[in-house]
Amino acid sequence: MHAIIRTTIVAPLIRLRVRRVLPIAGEVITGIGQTVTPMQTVARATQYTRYRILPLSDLLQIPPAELANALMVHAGDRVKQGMMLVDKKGFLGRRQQYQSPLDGEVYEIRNGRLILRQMSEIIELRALVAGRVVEHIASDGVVLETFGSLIQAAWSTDDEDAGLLKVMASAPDSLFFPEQITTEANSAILAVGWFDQLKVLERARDMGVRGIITGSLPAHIGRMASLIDLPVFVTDGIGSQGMSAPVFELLQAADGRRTALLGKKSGVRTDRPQIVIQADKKTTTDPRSAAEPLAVGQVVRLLRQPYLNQMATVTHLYNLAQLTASGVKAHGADVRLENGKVVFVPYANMEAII
Amino acid sequence: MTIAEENKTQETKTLPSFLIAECGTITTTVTLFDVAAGTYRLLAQATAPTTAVEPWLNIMEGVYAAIRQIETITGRSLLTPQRKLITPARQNGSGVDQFIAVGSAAAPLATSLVGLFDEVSLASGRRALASTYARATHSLSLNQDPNEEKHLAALIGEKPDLVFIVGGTDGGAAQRLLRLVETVSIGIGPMAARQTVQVLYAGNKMLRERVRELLKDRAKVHVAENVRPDLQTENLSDAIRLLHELYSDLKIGSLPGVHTLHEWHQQPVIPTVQALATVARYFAALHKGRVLIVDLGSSTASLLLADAHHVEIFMRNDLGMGAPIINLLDEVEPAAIARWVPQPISDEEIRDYIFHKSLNPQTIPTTELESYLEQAIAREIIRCVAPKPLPPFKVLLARGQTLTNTPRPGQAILLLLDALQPTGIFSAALDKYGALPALGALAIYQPLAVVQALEAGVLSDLGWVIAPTGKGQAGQSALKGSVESAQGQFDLDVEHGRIDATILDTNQMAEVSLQPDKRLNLGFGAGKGKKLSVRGGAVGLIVDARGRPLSLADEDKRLDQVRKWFWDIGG
Repeated sequence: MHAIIRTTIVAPLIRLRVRRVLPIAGEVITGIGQTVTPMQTVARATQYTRYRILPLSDLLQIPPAELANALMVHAGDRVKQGMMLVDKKGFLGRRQQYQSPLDGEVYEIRNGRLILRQMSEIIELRALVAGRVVEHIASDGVVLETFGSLIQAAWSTDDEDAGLLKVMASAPDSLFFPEQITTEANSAILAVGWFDQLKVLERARDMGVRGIITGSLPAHIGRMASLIDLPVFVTDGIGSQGMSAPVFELLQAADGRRTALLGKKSGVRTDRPQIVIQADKKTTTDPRSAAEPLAVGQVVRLLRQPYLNQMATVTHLYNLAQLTASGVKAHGADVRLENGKVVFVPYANMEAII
Repeated sequence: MTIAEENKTQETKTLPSFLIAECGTITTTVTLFDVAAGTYRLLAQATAPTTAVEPWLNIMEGVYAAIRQIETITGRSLLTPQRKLITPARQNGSGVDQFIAVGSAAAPLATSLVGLFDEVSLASGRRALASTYARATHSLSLNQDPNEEKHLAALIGEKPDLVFIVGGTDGGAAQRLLRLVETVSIGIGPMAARQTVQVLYAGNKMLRERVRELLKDRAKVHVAENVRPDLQTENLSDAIRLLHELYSDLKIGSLPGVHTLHEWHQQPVIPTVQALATVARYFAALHKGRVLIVDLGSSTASLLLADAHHVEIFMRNDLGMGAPIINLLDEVEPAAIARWVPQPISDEEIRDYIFHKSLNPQTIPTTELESYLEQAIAREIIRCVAPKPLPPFKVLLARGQTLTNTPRPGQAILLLLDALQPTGIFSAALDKYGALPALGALAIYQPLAVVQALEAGVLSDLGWVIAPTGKGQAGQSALKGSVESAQGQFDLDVEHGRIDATILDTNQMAEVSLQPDKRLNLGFGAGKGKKLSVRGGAVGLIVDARGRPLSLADEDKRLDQVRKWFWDIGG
C-alpha cells in the first residue's frame, strides 16, 4: 500500500533555514554572509496608509497631459505641508498657486491628478533567531541559516517574538494556572501543558512574558487569544489533552535555551507556525524528507478521539478500506498504542512525527 | 445525432479510455473509465491526499499515489518506472488514451470588486463571484464610501489576485465609472511594478476601449459581457466563464507541480465547479427537469441548481468541512448545531471540535458522537449556502465525504432533508465514488461514456422522497397510499410530523399511489393525489411529513424527537 500522510517536524538538532519576510515590499539592510542577533533588524519598509488626490488639471483648467509641465514637483519628491506644488500665471496674468496639504511624498502624477501620500509607519523586521544571512528574498526579506530544534506547531496567534525558554510543566498534560506566572517569567517564552483561563494570557502579557507555548487550549481561549498582544503557540490541538510526549520531551531538554516563535508573519509557505530553539553546536543534518510513504514501524501521532494525541507505532498497512467503530469505512493502518493495544486508525487521522 | 446513432457510429472505431484526476484541497481522486463488455464503465477509482502543500509541495505526488493504487486494483500499468503516463493505451492493456485534470486545490481568487452601486452592479458582481472559487476582499463603489482616497489606500494594501470591474448599463453614463477605473489604475501601480495585474471588466460595453486605455500600462484587461446590460437584465454567464478560466490559470496554474498535469492533459485544468455544472446540465436534460447538486467539500460548500440550459451556482468559499469550518461559528451559535445531534453535547465540546477540525481538516470521525456532530455541522453549513426559498427539483445528487461516508445511508438522506427542507417528489443519490466531477469532465470529451457509466451504476441511489408542503395535527394521517413492486404490495399511512421509510431495494421499480391530507400539497394542488413510478435505493421510499419549515421540539423533548427521526429513517 502506497500511503502518504501528513507529517509534523519535531526535530532535536538540525540545520535550519528560517525565512523572515516583510508584509510589504521594503529594503533589506543586511548583507549575505552577515551574522545577525535575534533582535537585530534585517529589513525595513515604509507603510503609507493616507493618500490625497489633487485633481490639478481640472483646477488649473489645462489638459491632463500638460500637468507635469505645470508642476514644481516630480513623482517620488518629498513634500512639506504648505510647500508650493504649482505656481503659474493663468488667464489674464492671474497667478494660480497650490500648496501641499501634508508632509509626505509625491506618489504619482496620472491622468491630470497629483497623488500625494503620507508616511504612517516604519516596519522593522527583526531576525528573531541568531544566524547568518544566506539569501535575500527580493526586497522583502532574508533567509537565515541557524542550528537547533524545530517544532511545527498546530496553530498560533499572529504575533511572534523571541526569548529564553522556561518550561513550566512537570508533565505534558499539566494544567497551568495564572498564579504560576511570577516576575521570573519576565522576557521568557513559557512552555505549559495546557490552560483553560484567559487570565493566563492577561497575566503573562502584564508580567512581560514574550510568548506562551502550550500543548492545547480550549476553543474559546483560542479565539480570545488573538485579541491579546502576545504570541500563543499551540503544539498539538484544541481541547484539554495537553502536549504530546515527543514535543514535551524536546522542550524539557531545551529548558533555558534561546527560542523564537515564528508565526504567519514569517512568510512560511503553508502558514504553519514554527518554534525554533537554538543550539550552540552546529550540524550538517537537514530536516528529513517528509514526502516518503508510510511504513510499518513508523511512529505516528493520532489526531482524533478516542486516541487523540496518543503516540503509536504502525504495525500493519491495509490495502482495502476498513470499518471503524462509528461505522465509517476508511483506508488506514493498525497501530500499537503505548499501552500495547493494537487498534485500527484511518490514515487521515494520523500524522508522522519526523 | 441521437445517443443511439452516436453509439452506432462509434462502434466502428476504438473508443478511447480516460484517466481523470480531480485534485481537491484535501483529497485527490483518480478515476479510470474504459470500455468493458461493449460499454463504458468506471473501472477503478482511488484516492490519496492532495500534495500541493508542505511537506510535499508537488501536487503530482498525490496523483501518482492514487494512480499506483489503481494499478494495484486493476493490474494495469499506467505509469512507467520514471512515473511518466503511458499514453495512448497499448495493445498489452497498459496505459490510457486520454488524461483529464479537474481541480479546486488552489485558494480562491482574492478579488477587489469595483462597481457603481451596491444594490445593482456590485450585487451582480458578488453573485458572479459566488459562482466560482473567488472571494471579494474589498469592494469599491460610489455609494459605499465616497472617499476615493480610502479606496486607493485599500487597493494598494490588498494586493488582490484580480480586480473585477462592473457597472453601468450599456450605453449609459460614463464619467463616474471611468473615475473609478482611474482610481484602480493608480491603486494597482505598486503591484504592477512587480507583476502583471489581472483586471476583469464586465461593465458598460461602450467603455471597453476607454477602460483598456486607462489601464494599458498597468494591467492585463480581460473583457466579459456586461453583467447588467440594462437595469432589468442580469447576465452573469460570460463573467462566470472568465472567472473559471482565471481561477484555473492564475491559481491552479501556480500550484507546485501542476506543469506535469498540463503536460498530461494539454489543456487548462477544469475547475471542479465547472465540471459539476456540466454534469448538472447533463442530468437535467436526461431527467427533463431541475436537478440539485449539493457539494459539501473541505474548503467550499456549493449548491448547483440546473435545468437543461442554465445552471445557477450558490457557492461559499468561506465555509466547508475542513479549514473554513471555523467560520461557521460566526454565522450560527453552537446550540443551532447541537439541535441536530441525537446525544447530549455541550457548546464547549462543539466549539473545541470545530476548532480542532479546522486545524486537522483531513481527519474523519471514528466515534459515534463525532460522526453525529459532523453531520450536524454539515446541516448548518448547507443551510447557510442554500437559496431561500429552494425551488422544487426532480433529482438530488450529493457529494462530499460527510454525506457519502455516513455509517448508514439513512443518515445521509436525513441530513439532506433537515438541511434543505425540500418540497415535492424527487429521487436522491450519493456520489459515493466521487465520480461526478470526472463525469462532468468526460461529458465535454465523450458524452457517450457518461450515459453508459451512469447506466452501469456510478452513483448510489438512496431512493425517492415524497415531501409535501403544509402542516397538520400531529398523530393524524398526513398521507396514505400504496406501493406495488415485485417485492409485494404495501400500504402507506404516514402521520403529520413523522418521517417514514419503506424498504424498496436498489433498482427495484414500484408503482406508487399517493393521497395526501387535504391540507398537504405534493406539488399538484392541496389534497391532490398522484400515481407515479419510482425506483428503490439504499433507504427506499421516503415520506417526509414533518412539515415545512421543520418544527423542532423544545430542549427537554429535542433529543427524543431527533432520535426518533434517526430511528424512523434507519439512521
